[in-house]
Amino acid sequence: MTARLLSHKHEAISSEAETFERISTGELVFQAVFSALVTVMVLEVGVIVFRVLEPLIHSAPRLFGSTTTVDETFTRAIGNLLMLIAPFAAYAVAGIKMKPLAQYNRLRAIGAALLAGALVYVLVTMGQFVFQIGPFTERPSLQMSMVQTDEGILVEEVIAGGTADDAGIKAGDLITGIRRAEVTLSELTTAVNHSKAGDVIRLRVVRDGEEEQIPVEVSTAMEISLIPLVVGLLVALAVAVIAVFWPGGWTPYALLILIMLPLVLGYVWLLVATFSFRTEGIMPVNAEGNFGGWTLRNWEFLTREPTGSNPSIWTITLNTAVIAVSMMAIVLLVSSMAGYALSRMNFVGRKTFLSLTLILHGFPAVTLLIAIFFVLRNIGTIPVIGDYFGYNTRGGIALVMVAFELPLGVWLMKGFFDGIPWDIERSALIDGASRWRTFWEILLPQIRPGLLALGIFAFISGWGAYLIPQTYSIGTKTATLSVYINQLTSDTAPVNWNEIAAVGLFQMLPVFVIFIFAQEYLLNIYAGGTKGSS
Amino acid sequence: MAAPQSALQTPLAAEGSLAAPARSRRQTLRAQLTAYGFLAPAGCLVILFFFIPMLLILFLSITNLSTTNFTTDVVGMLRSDIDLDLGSFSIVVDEPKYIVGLANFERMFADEFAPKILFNTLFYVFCTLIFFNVGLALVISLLTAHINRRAGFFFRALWILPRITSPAVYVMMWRRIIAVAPFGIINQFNQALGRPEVNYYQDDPWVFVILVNGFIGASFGMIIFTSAIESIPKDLLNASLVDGSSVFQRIRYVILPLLRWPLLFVVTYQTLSLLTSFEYILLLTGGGPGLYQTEVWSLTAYNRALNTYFANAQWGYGSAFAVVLVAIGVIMAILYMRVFRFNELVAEPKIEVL
Repeated sequence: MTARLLSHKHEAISSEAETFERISTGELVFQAVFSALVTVMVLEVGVIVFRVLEPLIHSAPRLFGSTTTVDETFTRAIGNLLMLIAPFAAYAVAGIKMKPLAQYNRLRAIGAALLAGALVYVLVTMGQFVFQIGPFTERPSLQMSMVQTDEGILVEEVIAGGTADDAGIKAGDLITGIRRAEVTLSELTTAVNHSKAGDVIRLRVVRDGEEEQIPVEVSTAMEISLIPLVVGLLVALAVAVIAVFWPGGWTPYALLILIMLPLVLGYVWLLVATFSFRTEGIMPVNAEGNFGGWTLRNWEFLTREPTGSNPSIWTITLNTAVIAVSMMAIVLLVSSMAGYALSRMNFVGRKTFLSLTLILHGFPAVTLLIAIFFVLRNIGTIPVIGDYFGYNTRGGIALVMVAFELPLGVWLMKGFFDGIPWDIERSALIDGASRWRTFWEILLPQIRPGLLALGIFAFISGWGAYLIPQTYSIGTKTATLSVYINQLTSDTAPVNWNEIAAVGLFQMLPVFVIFIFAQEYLLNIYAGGTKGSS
Repeated sequence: MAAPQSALQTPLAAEGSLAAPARSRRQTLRAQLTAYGFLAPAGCLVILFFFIPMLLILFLSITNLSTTNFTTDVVGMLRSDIDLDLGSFSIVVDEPKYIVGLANFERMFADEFAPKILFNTLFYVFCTLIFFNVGLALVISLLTAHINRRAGFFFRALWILPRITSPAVYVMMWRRIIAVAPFGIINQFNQALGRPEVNYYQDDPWVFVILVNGFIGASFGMIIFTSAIESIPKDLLNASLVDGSSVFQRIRYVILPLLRWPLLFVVTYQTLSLLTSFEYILLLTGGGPGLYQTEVWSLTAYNRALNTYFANAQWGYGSAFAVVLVAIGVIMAILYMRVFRFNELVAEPKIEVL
């Protein structure tokens, strides 16, 4: 059977080879370019569909009788994304068309793919030029070319009739600032990029040793530089050639990595930022803005002495650990007790309690935050207990988080107890052990994997908790690391992002270690355990 | 070895179930009390943090409680309204009145921004659900099911990472991804490619609200779909392979029809989650950057009642917003139980109690 299939396939290949011998390269390339353009068309139709949806969404609130509008929409972003990937898809299609040919004549396939890729690139670029998109987008410009020197920004060339020319700036002028502020070329470029056409930038210009302020109106221009075009061509050719030899088995991997790219970039930034002076994008830079600037100063918070408003990091870490560990312990104890009763005992109201657990498991507990605020306030008025479990106490925060995890915990524990054979327990009960002793000494050790899974889950959610500690504590007395990090980011004082990143990484470390050792448990438990979060 | 053992145990088990009705009433009562003892801690917490709050929020929504007349004394609030002076048969009204009836709800429906917030909520839930919590989840589980088993597991484990990262750190990462030049990561690529710089936070806040939530939400559906795909009998897939189907045909005609039930589960469960969760929106935009631009219903409830950033907390008005969500939550949670045949799971324990 297999042999026959194989020989059949062989025949197919050889007949295909003959077909390719007859077809000229030009015809092949034409077919490839044609399919590539069809791909672009299909994707652009998608763009148009999303663009059409946009005004619909824009005016949707009016259907609800509102005069307000939606300013920005997700559909536009999807349209833009489609527009961005359309050319790449086209180059890939051009390459894929050469795949059958590559099976018996590699060189010819590469040549044809390069030709097709280049042709598609030219067509796509022409399209972009016509519609003024991609590299031909109009952007704010002063219509002159500048270069950074030690004294200031030297104007190299002024476009005749351009806005800089109208304002009276001449080649050879030295720009030293905007109004009174000193600027470098990159700062000036940023300022221009951020302004709209018609805005006026007052440049401080030094001409023949004399300083004067010249207002220049920002205009828009299509700045065509050769480098992006060349880079684009090379990328097009590379994509086409790679597509020819791309093994089908790699596609899922490539897609998975592509989808994960934002996350990967985010975590890479977190790691890089903690060990560098400053970051631009994900590149670490030193004070001068050049690559480098590796430093450990972001980790100094570990040894910093506490000051009036800034508690020591170790106090906060201890707080977080106390909340997370006590929450884990209480969740494990309470839900295993309840799970045991539901799994092993028959009592009046068992069915009610079980269905209640399930309903609560589906119920979004976050909607009760406002009311729980009053419950905690009232607990706070009870003597003694109130000091430990009221509003603005670690105990109160831990209890609320325990309650939120309970429906899941009880349900999971019941499942684990159901899986334990009855006989072990029976012998202990016949020997006269109490229910509690049987539960504590015989059964709990049996469900150790279940306890481990639930414990890890509870610890991680307690350790990273933000909303509940933030809502039910004032100041930093009972704050967790998450609350502290968010306070740092919204400080009014200048924010040292790299230090916050270091605190963030410090906070992530325990969770990350657990993650490495307990992936399997986590994967299983998160299927049943997403409460509150999206 | 295993067979004789079970043969030995069967009579014992039978004896146990026979013995049960013979117990005295005292024993039964004791067994009941033990059971309640085991349930007591969980029961107390559930009453304290689920049932009392549920009643309390209904009550708060008909009061005008705010920073100006703040009290935690619920009974006092009630009394201040219905206090009868029995001596002179007159009603004392000099204490502040708290109960305002349905005024909060009337105000809510008349609120100028309520339609916008409602629309925002629907838009946010719809986009995140379709594109990420279901769409992306399905794509990831299909992709990881078609590659090497261990590699598939590795990729799925990576998707759990955002869920266990602290919300504050996770949101900080996204802020840096979308920041303006020279700090933003996307804008760095924009610069390198010669594209204009974009202030994503100002221009497209919705995109990032949806992305930030979607990249977390996708993992839930991913896990459910993956276990469903893995439980599809291999015979079915092999049969379609022999028939010469392509990968896409197998997905379309074999896998997807069998995923109908998990799909329904993920859609309903995640709709409710998205409708009520606001933690990441609070951290990322707090409802901004424009006026109520990314504000959703649950965030409004929180901001009105609990956000210390706005000095005047209106617990009564905020509760009215929350009550709407609580009602939706209760109804949908009960629906789950019915639709997903949870009654079968709640069946009697197979083994009788001693």
